Amino acid sequence: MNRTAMIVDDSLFMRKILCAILTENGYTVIAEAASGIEAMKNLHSSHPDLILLDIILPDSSGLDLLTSLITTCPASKVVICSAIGQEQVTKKALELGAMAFIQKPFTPETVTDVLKSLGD
Amino acid sequence: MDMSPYRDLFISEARKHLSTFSELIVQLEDSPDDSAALDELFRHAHSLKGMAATMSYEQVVGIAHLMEDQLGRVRKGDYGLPPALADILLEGVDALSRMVSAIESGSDSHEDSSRLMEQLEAFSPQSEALPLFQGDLPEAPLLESAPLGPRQFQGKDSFQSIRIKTEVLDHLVNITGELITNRHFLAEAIRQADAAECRQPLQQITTLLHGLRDEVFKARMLPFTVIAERFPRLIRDLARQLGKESHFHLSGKEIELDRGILEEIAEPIVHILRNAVDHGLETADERRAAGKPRNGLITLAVIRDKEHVEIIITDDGCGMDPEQLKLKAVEKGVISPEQAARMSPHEALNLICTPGFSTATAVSDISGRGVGMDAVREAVHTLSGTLAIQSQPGQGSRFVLRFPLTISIINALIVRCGPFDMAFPLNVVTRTMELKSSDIREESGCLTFRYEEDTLQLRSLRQALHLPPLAGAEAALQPVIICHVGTTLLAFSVDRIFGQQEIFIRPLRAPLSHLQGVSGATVTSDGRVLFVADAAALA
Repeated sequence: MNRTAMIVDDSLFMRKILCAILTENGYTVIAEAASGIEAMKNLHSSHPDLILLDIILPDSSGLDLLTSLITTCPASKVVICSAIGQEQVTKKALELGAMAFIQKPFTPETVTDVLKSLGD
Repeated sequence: MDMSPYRDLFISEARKHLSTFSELIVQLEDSPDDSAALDELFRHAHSLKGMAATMSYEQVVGIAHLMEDQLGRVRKGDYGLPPALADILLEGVDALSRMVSAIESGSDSHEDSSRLMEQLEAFSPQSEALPLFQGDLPEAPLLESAPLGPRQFQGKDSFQSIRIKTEVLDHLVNITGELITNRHFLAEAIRQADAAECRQPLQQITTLLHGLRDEVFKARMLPFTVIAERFPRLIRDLARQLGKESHFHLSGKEIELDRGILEEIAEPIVHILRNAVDHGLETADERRAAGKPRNGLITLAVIRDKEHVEIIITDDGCGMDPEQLKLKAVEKGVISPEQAARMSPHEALNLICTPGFSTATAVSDISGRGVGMDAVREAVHTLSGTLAIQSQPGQGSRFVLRFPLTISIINALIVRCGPFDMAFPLNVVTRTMELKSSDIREESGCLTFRYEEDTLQLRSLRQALHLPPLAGAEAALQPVIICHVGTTLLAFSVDRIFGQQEIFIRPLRAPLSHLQGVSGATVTSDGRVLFVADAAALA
């Protein structure tokens, strides 16, 4: 089954790399967003199966955005992707409904493992 | 995974991080309490480290990590940013910049950064007295990673960009525009002379001209942030002055726009933002009573697609009630009660752009300052743009400004109306069609027709231009163009539609600048002057 994904990261470099890894794992990346607003805008037109969310974005609190994403798109699985203040922010993100956590810097294998752990 | 395809992206993003990092250090030295600047500094060091780790550039990772560490301590409040630490961090930026240049040139040589790393690792305010460079003059920090011979010049980065006067750029745009107009002359002459041997060179000139146009416009681009820097402060101060609490959220500030557009839209945006704080946001008490978060939220997003840019300003304040606006407009004599009764909610919202209309019950210091929404709409139209207003009473308002990416060379639809040819900017035209007279109905004094799910109003361009009706038009098919006007669609009947053409818009000077319904002029391939239509003003 072809699954769809959206990548939210302010770094184009990170988006491109994540896009390549997701594609290798059988995902179709249907949207990329460099900011919280772009991410929410994208959700008007598409509801991806997976959202990779950089928790530190220049324009919004990642946790607020996470809540909005989950509210708008309850069927999407959100995976947090970042490293700053890992323990606290991650914990909070997982409490708020994120499914998993990818720590930067990552290898393609770590990302693949996390994707597999989502169980689909 | 082969990372080499991402190298160039790494280089350009790393450079951006490093240049912002230097700026922020300087900024933070000026205002040591700026915790946002500190957070951002931290984020840049952190992002760079993450990117470098992904690319396995270990030396970059090492230095960025130590810089991040030091900033972490400053952030935790262990110490401020003493000048000595700022020096070391800036030294770190220089070293990282050299490493990025080395990566770019594909050089394998590693510079010796051990002293810098020691400094970064060992810094504490007590050690501040330690000089950054001990003993002889610093050698490594001044040199590129590969040691240079005595007669070699250093680096090649410094001349990759130059400063240029904006008037020179404007001149280049004018010359390019004239070239495009002249290409039309030439193409027409070649067509008439049927000179087959000229077609190939003409095709090449066309391609080169498009290349020239794109490059000239690229050179005129500036990031939105050049006008947006003052917005956060402006909103904060205004809100405080009015006893309101606000958050401001800006996205897309890095998106580049034509300098001319930025110049023209800065004040209109400020006006909309002022309105949002003044008329939009409620006080904290009112918000609590309405079950809203204490802080009002104002957002500004810049979004760009291939041909257009959109600036979207929203607030989550009290919104506007179309019925109230209608009452007000009738009271002020702007519209008649009958017109009000016919108005859709969308049209009613656009009333705020009518000259002399102000929604504030009392003219306040802040919004009632001469510049009204009518001036905003006019500025938008001058740029061949559109302004759409949406609002939900109790929930807030949303203003969408949409412009073509460049203002002086655009694609336009050429139509004829009586003795005039006119150009409608393509970004306002939705489609063209032909109507049979049986398609057209008359409803309360207006001509209308069914278009997809809607009923659209049909205006005669002849009438809008005060020209006599076209004789015998009733029988024939009526060419019609459908335009975006504000948030609604409006159709104009014209005598004839010629097709699309790239045109170079020249501004009109007095007395022609007073003409209603036109925003500029251009010269056609046969040397005639063609007016550029302002669909909203013709509506």
